[in-house]
Amino acid sequence: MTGSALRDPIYQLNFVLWMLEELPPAAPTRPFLRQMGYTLHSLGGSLPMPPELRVRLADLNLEARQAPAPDVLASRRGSTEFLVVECKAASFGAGSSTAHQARALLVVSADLRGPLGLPALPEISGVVSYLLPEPDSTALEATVHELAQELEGARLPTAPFAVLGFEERSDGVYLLDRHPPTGLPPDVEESISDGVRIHEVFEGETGRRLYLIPWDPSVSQTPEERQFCQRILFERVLAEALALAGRAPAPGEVHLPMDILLDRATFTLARRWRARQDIKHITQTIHRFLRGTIERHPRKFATRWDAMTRTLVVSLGSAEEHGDLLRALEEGQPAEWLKGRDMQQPELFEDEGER
Amino acid sequence: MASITETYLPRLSSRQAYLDYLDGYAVDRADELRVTKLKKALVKTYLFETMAQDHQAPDAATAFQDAGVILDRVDDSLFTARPRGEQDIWGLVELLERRHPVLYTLLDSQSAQRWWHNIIHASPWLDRVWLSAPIFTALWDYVHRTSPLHRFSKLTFEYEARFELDENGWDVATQGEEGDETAEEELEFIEPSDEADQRPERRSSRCTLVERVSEIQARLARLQEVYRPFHSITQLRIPAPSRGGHDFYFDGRVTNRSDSFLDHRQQVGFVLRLYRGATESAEQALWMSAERTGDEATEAYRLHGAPVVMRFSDPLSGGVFERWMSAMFARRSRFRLWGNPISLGPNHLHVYGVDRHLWQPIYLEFTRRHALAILPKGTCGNTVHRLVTNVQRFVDAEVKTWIGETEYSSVVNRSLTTRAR
Repeated sequence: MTGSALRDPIYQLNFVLWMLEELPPAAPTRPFLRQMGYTLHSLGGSLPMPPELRVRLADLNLEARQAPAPDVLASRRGSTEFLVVECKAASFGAGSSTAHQARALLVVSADLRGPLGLPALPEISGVVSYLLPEPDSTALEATVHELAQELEGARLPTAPFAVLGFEERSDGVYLLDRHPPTGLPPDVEESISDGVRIHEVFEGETGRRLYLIPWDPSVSQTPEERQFCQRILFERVLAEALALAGRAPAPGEVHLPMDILLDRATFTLARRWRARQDIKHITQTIHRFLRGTIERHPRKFATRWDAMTRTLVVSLGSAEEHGDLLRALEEGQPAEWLKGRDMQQPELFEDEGER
Repeated sequence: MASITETYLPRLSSRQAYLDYLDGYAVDRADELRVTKLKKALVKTYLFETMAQDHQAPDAATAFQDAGVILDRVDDSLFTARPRGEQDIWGLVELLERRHPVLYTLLDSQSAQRWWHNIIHASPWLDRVWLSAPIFTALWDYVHRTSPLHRFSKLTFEYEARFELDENGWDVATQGEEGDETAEEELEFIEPSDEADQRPERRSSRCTLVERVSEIQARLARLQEVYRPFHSITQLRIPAPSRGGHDFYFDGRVTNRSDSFLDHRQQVGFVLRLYRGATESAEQALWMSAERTGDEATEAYRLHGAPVVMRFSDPLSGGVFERWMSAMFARRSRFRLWGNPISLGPNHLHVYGVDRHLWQPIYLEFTRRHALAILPKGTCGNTVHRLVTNVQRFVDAEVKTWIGETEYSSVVNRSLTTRAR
């Protein structure tokens, strides 16, 4: 695995999710957060700022218009402790735009009752936990410390925080805490100590586990990591298309609805993208890929595009034709097809593909 | 030799008449077995999985009809069955257990198995029931707790180091994948004649133990300790109350060698309830999905589901891993999986693929030490039983499997305990 994966937000998000998974001790991944009693509360949800705090932040000329949305929120069983996890590719300075979000996150996490709709008592604060590649954790710890002091100086409620590092070693990927004491519960901090191995890695393997979340178009990635994630997304879309085609009757019709394929390939998380206007562009690309894959087969299939339901329909006259369609889809090669294409850049005459 | 006409079923008017017929037939066969003059076929039963949890799935009767089987109703859950175009009754289909219909037939083994294979091959909604070694281990526990200790039982152990080189150093696992598309598992039931048997020599074990229940119980654990293939149980006889027993095979075949069809039917129902319990528990724990929490504005999601983890008893050699992976996704591979492997290193592979039998997605990770599978919501738990059964038979007889944090064998045992209450 190259170092760039450790800095990739999708890799990092999956890393955190695997730490919360139900896994046996014999698994190649240690679900450290789960072992410490945490379970996934929510993924990518925004935390609306209480109105009183918005006013106070505005008085101090601090950005408070947008509700902060941490990557992962985890709650601890049998307690009121929350981890508010934010993954970062690198450190940032107190004057950067990212620092505005950090201030908002520290303030809103100081009491999560309102933002999460929890009962009135008692006060529930989350520990804002930044995760980033280890060499950068010292710089970020200094930044967050500075931000927290600034907020406390302004008498704003401020959540406890921790800055944790990822590090790749020859035998695995580790989670490190180089800056104790942090705001983490003492038992968690003690367990991390000089490093806890999350992914076990042997010769010829990498620290990548299966991606639970394949991709998010709103995330900034290196071209290599973006290509890797897009390939996973397209492999999953192709698997879903094959699943639909495999169970279709013959003679009959195979219906491949683009929105449903994307929904299934992302465990429905693509619905979060809709607000960002990415979904149409991506489903158009998926449509072109599937149509191209089917058209590569020597048999000429009768296809039509249902614009209303955004569905590619393939008519099958016989069981033999059905078999050929399955073969055509099985020969689909997302990696090859994606070469030189970037889904974040709409292609010229994009809508023409949907005929 | 019995002629084929004797193995068809007569046209009878009711369930009771059919059950009486098969019960009487079983008594006759048991008598013949006793004096080793078996003239007619035994009652063979085939167990099916129907994907009943899939809202798109047709009901079991429709699934059979789509697979070319004409069903004529005897009552709400019993049908006579014949292939399309045939007039004789080849067997009976009973909806014995929710999601698990069974086929009873008197056809000879080869004809019956060919028919069974054709049915399964013709429908993405029907699969075999896959009885893995942990399921057999739980059933053995049931046998030794419930059968008189002096009765005989039978266990078969089977392991073939499929992906090791043969004695000449040839790679035989990956040859001929692109030719005949018939899956290996479908060819397996046809035993080659001595002359035609050109199977390569490689490490393999197949042995059958027929012994008193008390003897097997006293020695099984020790046998497994000294020789790993003894973990890979592929057949078990559940003794019948009076004589003979019911032979269950790993791929969902059952032969009635007892003198009671009614007992046979009850034992089959018991095993199917155990199987359904284990499958549904596994599905509940495994199905990966996300659901939105909170309101539209917060856009928060929660992820549910856990992976299947398989840990090999020893790391596979580099050669075995490489050969297994290159054979795994071939069209005629017995694993029946499709996917474009994403190689992350020589010993590390990810596949976001499909179960080619049931046409349902499955995500897989392989290294020399483990295999890990994620089942998106809706993918049938039967896929897990098939994967475990095949890994145990061809890769590692002592592989350990977990459903999330829970041992697969505990999931099976829990289901057995629940059934027994």
